[in-house]
Amino acid sequence: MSEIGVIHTEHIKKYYIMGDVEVRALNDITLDIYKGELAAIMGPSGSGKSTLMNILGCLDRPTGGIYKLGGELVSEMNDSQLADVRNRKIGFVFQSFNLLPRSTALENVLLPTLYSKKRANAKQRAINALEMVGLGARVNHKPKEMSGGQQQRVAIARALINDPEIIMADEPTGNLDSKSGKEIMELLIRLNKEQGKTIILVTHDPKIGKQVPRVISVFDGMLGSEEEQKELKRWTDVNYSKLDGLAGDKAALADDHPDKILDGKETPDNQAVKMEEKEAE
Amino acid sequence: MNITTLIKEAMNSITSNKVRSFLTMLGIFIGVGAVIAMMSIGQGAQNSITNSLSSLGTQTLYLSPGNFTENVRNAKDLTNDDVTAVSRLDCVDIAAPTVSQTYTLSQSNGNTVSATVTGVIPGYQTVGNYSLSQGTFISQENLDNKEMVAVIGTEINKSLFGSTNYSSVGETIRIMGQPYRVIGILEEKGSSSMGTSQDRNVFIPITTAQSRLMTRQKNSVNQITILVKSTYSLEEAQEIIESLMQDRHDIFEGNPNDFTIMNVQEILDAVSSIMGTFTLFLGGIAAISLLVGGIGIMNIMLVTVSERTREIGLRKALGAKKGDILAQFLVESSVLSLVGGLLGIVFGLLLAFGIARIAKMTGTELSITINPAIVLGATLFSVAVGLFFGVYPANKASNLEPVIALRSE
Repeated sequence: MSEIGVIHTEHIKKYYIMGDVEVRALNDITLDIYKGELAAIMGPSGSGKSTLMNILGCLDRPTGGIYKLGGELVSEMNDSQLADVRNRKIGFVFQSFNLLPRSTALENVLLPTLYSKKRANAKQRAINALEMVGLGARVNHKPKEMSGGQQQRVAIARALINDPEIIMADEPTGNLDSKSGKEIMELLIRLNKEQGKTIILVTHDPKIGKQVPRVISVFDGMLGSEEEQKELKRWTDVNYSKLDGLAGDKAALADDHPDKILDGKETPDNQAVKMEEKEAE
Repeated sequence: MNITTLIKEAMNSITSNKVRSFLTMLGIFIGVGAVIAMMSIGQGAQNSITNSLSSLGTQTLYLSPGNFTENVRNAKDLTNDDVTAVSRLDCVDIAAPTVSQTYTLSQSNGNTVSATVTGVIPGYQTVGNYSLSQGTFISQENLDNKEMVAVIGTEINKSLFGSTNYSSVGETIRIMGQPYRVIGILEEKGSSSMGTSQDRNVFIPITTAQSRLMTRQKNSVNQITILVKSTYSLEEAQEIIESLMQDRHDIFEGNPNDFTIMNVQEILDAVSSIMGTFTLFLGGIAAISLLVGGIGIMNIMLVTVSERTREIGLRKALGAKKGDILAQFLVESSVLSLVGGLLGIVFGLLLAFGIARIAKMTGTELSITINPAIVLGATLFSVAVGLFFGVYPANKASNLEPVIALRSE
């Protein structure tokens, strides 16, 4: 790994102070993601994958370590510079779509351009983006007039409008039925293959893990070891078509690894992180 | 974000919750409305008072005995000789002495009325700006012959003869039992600026008054109304008359005068200043409701910010900087306040005209003065209220951490 990735982190840490206790949400993450990669960050809840996603997405700053995005030293930037980087380089797709309910699909897609210096042909670009995600006919519809899958497509068009290098998708299929979820995944894979976008997914859906070339596993705020990565890959290789629901996941896992953390037993660290999250809300 | 987009977004957000926005605006609406109404009425009243005072003539001085501010020993009365001396001055057009006292007037039909009887000279008609609806004013002949004649106001006419329109010229009225023949009726003038009715005047020749009615004032007068020639300024004339009177009353330099010269302009200034303060006071009280309206805006903006935390998080994630969020919420609160303010101006003006109408029906003439400066001021002030009370909520919104904001429900 001599070449530096479009995303490059060295020993990233994220600590929270909760009362007198220091909670280590992320501990020493060193990672490279290369241009054109399609990677999934996976891990159990409380593992720190969301924290990692937030830092990689420039929504949050690491407590320590170095983070370079496209050569820019993001870990040293102030709020305003981070906002600018998010606007130019990253497109976000969220689990709950996060569309403005009173605005049309077009206005929603145009939202990032309000904060951008690239304003030329914004409207035409937005229409193109909507056409690319297959919503050319629904430009003037409001979110509540569209299905969940269509709303997520609008969100993807919004992520594309400023032509970012990276698309970050946090559980993009989490709120969708399996058919729409499949379509969204196909769309993301198509963007990766046809337009060469670097796409980072956060998911705990093993089926998605199966579809992507690279899985980055996170446990207790650390990257999984080689062995754990392999375990995870094996986990995702389980034939889920015979099982259904979360209970199935657990059953399958329990068969293979009765002692694995993934079954819901939480370490004190994990609990603390969860508390932190609740507190923050 | 440019200002057009900001305003468009603000309007969008305001119209999305119409009832709430309307109720929030109501505070500013009533506040601005009250300020505009109070100021318009106050200024209107001030203008009508100063107008009626100016109609007394800005070239008029009032000379009266005594000193209102300092104690003077052995104060001398104003005498007929003083009147003659003053009227001989170059700067004086007319010097009209008056004596007055309150008497009971009666008529042979049994009606009685209490009124102030004033002894005047013919020139007083010009000085006091009186016109007659019937008959004639006191003439020089009446004066020279000390005739028992009277000119009466419409209200006196009504009290004694039963109707304001009754032609009483030639009839006899009794003042202190003395018979006086009515020779003229004054035109209706309405109440004076000082609140006394000018239609309750009774004028008789000053010579008659001094020799028959107010015999104690045989040689003294209550006041001299002086019309200054237009070639002299009021101040010049005042100085000349003052030195003449000091001379005549043997007042040494540095000692207080035993007479007072009043200047219509001075009265006008005093009244203006009192009315101005009063108007400001009314406006100030109304401004308190504007303040309350502003607090209402702040309250609603805080609710809006917490309701839209997720939206703020999203905008930040998509690249909105602190300033963008701040501007968005400041514009929203200002637009909310401005719309309330503009509606309030219309409401305030309607209110002012409504009150003027009611006042007119109850008999008081009240003209409304719309001051563009106040209307503009109210508009700007309502924007300022929106900005001021929007700063805290907007700042709160702009300081939200995107990660935390996105996570909120």
